[in-house]
Amino acid sequence: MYLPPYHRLDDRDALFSLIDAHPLGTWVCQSAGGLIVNHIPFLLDRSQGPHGTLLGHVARANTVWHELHTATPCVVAFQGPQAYITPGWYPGKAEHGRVVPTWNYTVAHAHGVAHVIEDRDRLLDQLNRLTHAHEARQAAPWHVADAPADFIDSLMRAIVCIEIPIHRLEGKLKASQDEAWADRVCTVNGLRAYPGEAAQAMADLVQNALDTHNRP
Amino acid sequence: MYIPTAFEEHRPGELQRVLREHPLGALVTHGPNGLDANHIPFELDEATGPHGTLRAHVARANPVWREVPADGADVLVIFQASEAYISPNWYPSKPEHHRHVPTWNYQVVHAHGRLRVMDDERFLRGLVARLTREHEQRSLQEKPWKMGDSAPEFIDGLLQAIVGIEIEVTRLVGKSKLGQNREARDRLRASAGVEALGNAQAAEAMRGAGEV
Repeated sequence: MYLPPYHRLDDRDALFSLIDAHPLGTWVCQSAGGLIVNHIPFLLDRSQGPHGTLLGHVARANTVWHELHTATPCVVAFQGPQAYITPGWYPGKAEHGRVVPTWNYTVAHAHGVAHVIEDRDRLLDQLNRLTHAHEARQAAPWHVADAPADFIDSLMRAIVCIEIPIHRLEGKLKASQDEAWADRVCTVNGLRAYPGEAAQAMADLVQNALDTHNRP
Repeated sequence: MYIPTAFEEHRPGELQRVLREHPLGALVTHGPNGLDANHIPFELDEATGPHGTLRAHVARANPVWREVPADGADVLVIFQASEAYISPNWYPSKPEHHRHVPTWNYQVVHAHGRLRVMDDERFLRGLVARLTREHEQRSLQEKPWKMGDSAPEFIDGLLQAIVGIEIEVTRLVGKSKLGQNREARDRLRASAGVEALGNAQAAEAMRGAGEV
């Protein structure tokens, strides 16, 4: 991924938070037969391995798990908020006109090798943890044990546990850090006035980049 | 990509809608440094080629375009539309038998095609003008910004710093996993649940999933 220094995101906690907040990963494997891509919600286990481990599962009917060998590299891309940025928001537009549109976004790329884990207890532990993480926003969180045991058993037989110890983590935060200070401030205001969750999340990222670094 | 029959997306209009409304594609490459992806906003030209043509630009400093042989390269671009976690709590049928588990809904399109590098100022000038027009319109600007609003020598300089890419699409593979395999009441109540958490896009996609 092309990473100009001002858009490089090296802060591991920030990258981990991005994965937690946007866990649907685009999982790309380079197999002998070519690229295999699947979209899988991953759970990040920060404590497993030096750079954390991604835990997920796929349907047994998904042939990807037959193709995974120790020499099969993969990358999982996690995509955070994004927004089109119009120069119409920039004070610089009237002052000197040296402005153009851009696209802001943030992504984390987790590189590693995926392992197939045939272990019922580990799979159940993963399902419980995934459920716990995502049910946190529910008034009365659902639990795996709320479903009949025979039903859960039959579903578990139809899926396979995947674990990807992260070997290398790369991140990009393109949040207007390379624009003029006043243009960045007005980008936050422009995004705030725009509808939708993604625009508000991007406004937070542009503001946060103003608050934390790159102060002129 | 694993696609159960119920989630196959073949409707050309829907495939194109995903590409137009979610144009930030992940261009997947396998270069000297291994697997990689660059995230780039693409323009879809539906009229050129049997499956359309994607065009975009990258920074000249981005090595991705130098890795493409003169006769082009087969590439994959991944477009991701809305997505949402689905709680079994939302299904009205849950209390009846409890035979539900959580899932994740999402829509994606994989565009396969042949990439050619377009190191050509006319190509770039037309492309950035059209991209600007489209996105100024889509982001509902009262006074859409135009290329002509900028200083011409400034634009000339920026055009030197980017390189065009063009992908003739050979195959579009779409997956729409939106609860269309469930009872309508479960899908619609789950859509309302997703909307209550602030994800209007995914809620709308799920609502519309019954109308094939």
